Amino acid sequence: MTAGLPPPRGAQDPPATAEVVVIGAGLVGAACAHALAAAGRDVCVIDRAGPIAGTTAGGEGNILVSDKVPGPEAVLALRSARLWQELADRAGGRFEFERKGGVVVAHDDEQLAALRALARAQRDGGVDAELLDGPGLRAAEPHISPGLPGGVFYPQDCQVQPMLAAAWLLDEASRLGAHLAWGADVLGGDVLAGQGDGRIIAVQTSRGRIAAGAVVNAAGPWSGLVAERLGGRLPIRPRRGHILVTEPLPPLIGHKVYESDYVTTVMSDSDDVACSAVVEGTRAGTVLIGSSREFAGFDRRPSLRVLAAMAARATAIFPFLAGVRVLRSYVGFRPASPDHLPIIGPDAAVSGLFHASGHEGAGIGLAPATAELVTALLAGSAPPVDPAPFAPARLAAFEGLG
Amino acid sequence: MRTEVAVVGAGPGGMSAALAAADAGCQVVLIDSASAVGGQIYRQSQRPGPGGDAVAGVGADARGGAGRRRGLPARLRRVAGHPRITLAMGVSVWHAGPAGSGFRLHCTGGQGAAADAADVVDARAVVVATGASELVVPFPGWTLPGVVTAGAAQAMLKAQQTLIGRRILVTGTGPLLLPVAAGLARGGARVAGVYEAAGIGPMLSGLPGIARHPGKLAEAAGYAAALARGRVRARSGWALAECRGRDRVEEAVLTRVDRHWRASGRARVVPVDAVAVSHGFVPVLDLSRALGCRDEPLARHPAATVVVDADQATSTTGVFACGEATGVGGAAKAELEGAVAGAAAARHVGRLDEAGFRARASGAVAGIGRAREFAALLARLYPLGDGWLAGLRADTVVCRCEDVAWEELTGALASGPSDLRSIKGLTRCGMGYCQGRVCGPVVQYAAARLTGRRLDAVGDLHTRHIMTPVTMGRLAAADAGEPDDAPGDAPGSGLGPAARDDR
Amino acid sequence: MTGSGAATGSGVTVSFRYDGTALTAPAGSTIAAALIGNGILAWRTTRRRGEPRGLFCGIGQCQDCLVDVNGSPAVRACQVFVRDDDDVRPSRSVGWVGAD
Repeated sequence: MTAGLPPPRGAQDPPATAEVVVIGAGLVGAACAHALAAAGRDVCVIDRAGPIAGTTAGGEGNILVSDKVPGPEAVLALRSARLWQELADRAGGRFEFERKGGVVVAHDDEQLAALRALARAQRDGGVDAELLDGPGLRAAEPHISPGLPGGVFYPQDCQVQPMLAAAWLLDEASRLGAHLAWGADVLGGDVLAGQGDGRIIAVQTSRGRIAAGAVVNAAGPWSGLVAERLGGRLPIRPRRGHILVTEPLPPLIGHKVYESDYVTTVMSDSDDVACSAVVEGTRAGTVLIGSSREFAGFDRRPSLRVLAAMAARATAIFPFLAGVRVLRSYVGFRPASPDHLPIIGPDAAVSGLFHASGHEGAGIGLAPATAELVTALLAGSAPPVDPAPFAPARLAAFEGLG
Repeated sequence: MRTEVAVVGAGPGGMSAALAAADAGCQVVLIDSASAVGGQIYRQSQRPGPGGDAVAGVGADARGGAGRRRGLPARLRRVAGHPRITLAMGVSVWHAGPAGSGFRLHCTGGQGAAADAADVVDARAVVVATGASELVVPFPGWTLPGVVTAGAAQAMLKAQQTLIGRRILVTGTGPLLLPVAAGLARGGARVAGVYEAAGIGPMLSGLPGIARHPGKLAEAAGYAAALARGRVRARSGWALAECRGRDRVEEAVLTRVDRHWRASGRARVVPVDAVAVSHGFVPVLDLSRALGCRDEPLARHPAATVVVDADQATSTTGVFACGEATGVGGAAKAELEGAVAGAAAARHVGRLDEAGFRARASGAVAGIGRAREFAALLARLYPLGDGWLAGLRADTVVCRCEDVAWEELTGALASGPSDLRSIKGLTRCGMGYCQGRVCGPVVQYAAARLTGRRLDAVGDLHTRHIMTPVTMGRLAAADAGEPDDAPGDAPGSGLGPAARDDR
Repeated sequence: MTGSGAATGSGVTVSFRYDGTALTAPAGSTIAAALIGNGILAWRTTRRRGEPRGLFCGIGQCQDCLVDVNGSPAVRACQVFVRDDDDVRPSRSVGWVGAD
């Protein structure tokens, strides 16, 4: 054993009491812990494994406003993108934050017209969008397929390395006094029966009991399971996605580039697998290629059929990719909610239990605004955005799902 | 290409399996990424010469074996020209999975007829004979040009009749050091010394065990004699602490070490222009995992072995394994296991009945037992020490592909990541071209040691769903075959340790 | 050490260029052996630190020996045979040799 290495964070037993217990050390949990600790709350973050052991490591690092149809999620996304910039300024390059902008492409004139209509509606909601014709598209992305008629450029889209970002947020939370306890699985909750609803007063974990004033469930695709163990209810389903990673390349793709049918794919309820190309370069030089969506439980084995479809769609947008080698593929599980909106707010039945989940592929982008909203709701102060569309109570209509 | 039995890996295990299956009447495809059969131990010359047949993938007899000819034995050379064996040399399997009632291997590479034919191999049974890769633990200066693995020095000599340097140091630990040094000396190199980390004490205590394998003892004595003739210094209980040089290695710093490989004071500086280093072997598991086969981690070594029963059958019906994949144990073990695996594959596809299988397999059982016993003995004689961790400097590279420094790894460990997958995400270790083949076992070992956890609790990087880089165009055109109902892990709740994550 | 400049004539010696310099190697040589035989031990620079690399594992596993050949980027020098008139160039550890 090498002398001089301090014990890693998360190794100590959790405290017997915490004002707020955050469950989940992925990006949403890390952001919540950071925001709560910065607001002066006494926070303990627990995870059954450790930092970034779940969905956070399976994403591309998208911070998008471009893929949100006008509505509450778009509002949240705009706010969150600004908060990301503030965090990035403080972090000084620690998590490869890039305000690179997004380019959405259409394959034919019909798609282009629909894309432009969407862009106009998004502009009304405060999203910057610049229409691109064919030459404009090729000026923005010299290596893009010459056959594409046009697209839209969204300068507010950003990219981040989500794992490094989550690690930084946890480090900052820790510096602000938050406790971290890894290897702590939620076994149950102590819910005090009271008038009407119960109130959660403690979390039972595999590393001990933590008496808590409030609990934030940020367990991603496992949020439903955690909610159940705590006496609550959350209809979350894992929506599986694939990513391909190429060999390192010089910077050949400048923006996040994706197909216009990405939005419809996100919003679909189909059980079939849906693929829609998302292509972007990274600081490390590799190009990440997504995306696929399907309900396949927690099956971690990538499907060759899906990978082949993704490769084909990506190559249709950037023909040069045909000769570029793929080094690896991986799979991630998005926490999907029944109405495709995040679930942020108090549990419908158990008071003191708050949920911060259901972001379904937008979790990285929405994490800071989610954390901000959670912090306000816990404090009882004025929420920065209207919380009603995200309230868990709205899901009573979806009982029996998930 | 459709066949009955696909054998992946054409070392002694794979060749033996291919012959056993083909002799029993099976159509067999024998696949290897190298240009010729033989694996590492029977590495053939790639130069034109007598006895070579490039098309058939059988090279000319290699020179430079340690003390005696190490040509491909005639009994294995039969693979070339066997009427039921198709050789697919220079072919790599980049994806594998179940298809229909068998398996589909997606291939890339190949020369001549093999290139067109080996795009996809559909087989009813598969024999995994993918061998092992070399383990090298990092040390300051290990990325200097001229520092290579012992296997590289050997391959360069046998296959290419090329010496990696004029004054070569051979060091590390394990039974490969002596034959490599003897081979280099015979090949005309000045061997600057053979420095083995394992001390003389464990060697002596292991002598009774070695004495039960007189052939091995004689072999070792032969190497030692060759080195003595060449006046090559051989030392036990010494390890390489650092390599120094400007554009290439120019000198090696060796230190006396205790049994944990911790420097115990005395250092010696040796001028060299090349270093051949090896710290052991790690079975290659990506193909077996892709086919859903279970493997078992080793307790003290950052490696795992494919679990097989007495008939060399893995946990996946129709997939068999032999050789280093089931445990690092050398050519004899591989060949014997291969004979059983090939016969078992033949039984699986219906070419052999139970009695026919027993007739062929029973003769190998005793030999396999002895070979495994010897392999276990070797593991005890050449354990992996952890003292090298203390020798790493902050800027010592631990992931060669991504230039990740030791201080970055320790910094990431401070966040308390639970497994190697998370460590990879935080550091980029294992994300480069080699996808963790070199650094995976090293990072696994370091993480376990530094956090006081078991090796198998940390996880590994052996799972690769894309097993070798393949172009996007090739991937886009891949035909997955019939829908998979993959063996192995069923979709679960996602709870519990994800033992085979690929990230 | 295998030397260069053996008898000319196709089939025995291969003539190729490395980084613009004309070299020869015995037929059947891999690019790695051809370069090492000509005293060249490093033919790649790493992306992050710009450090020189050449042969390491020698059997196609480590991907340290990447080199650019005839416009094909980042191929394993220890696996690819050198042929007459090959244009071999140092690799920058990326899978792209075209104009950026």
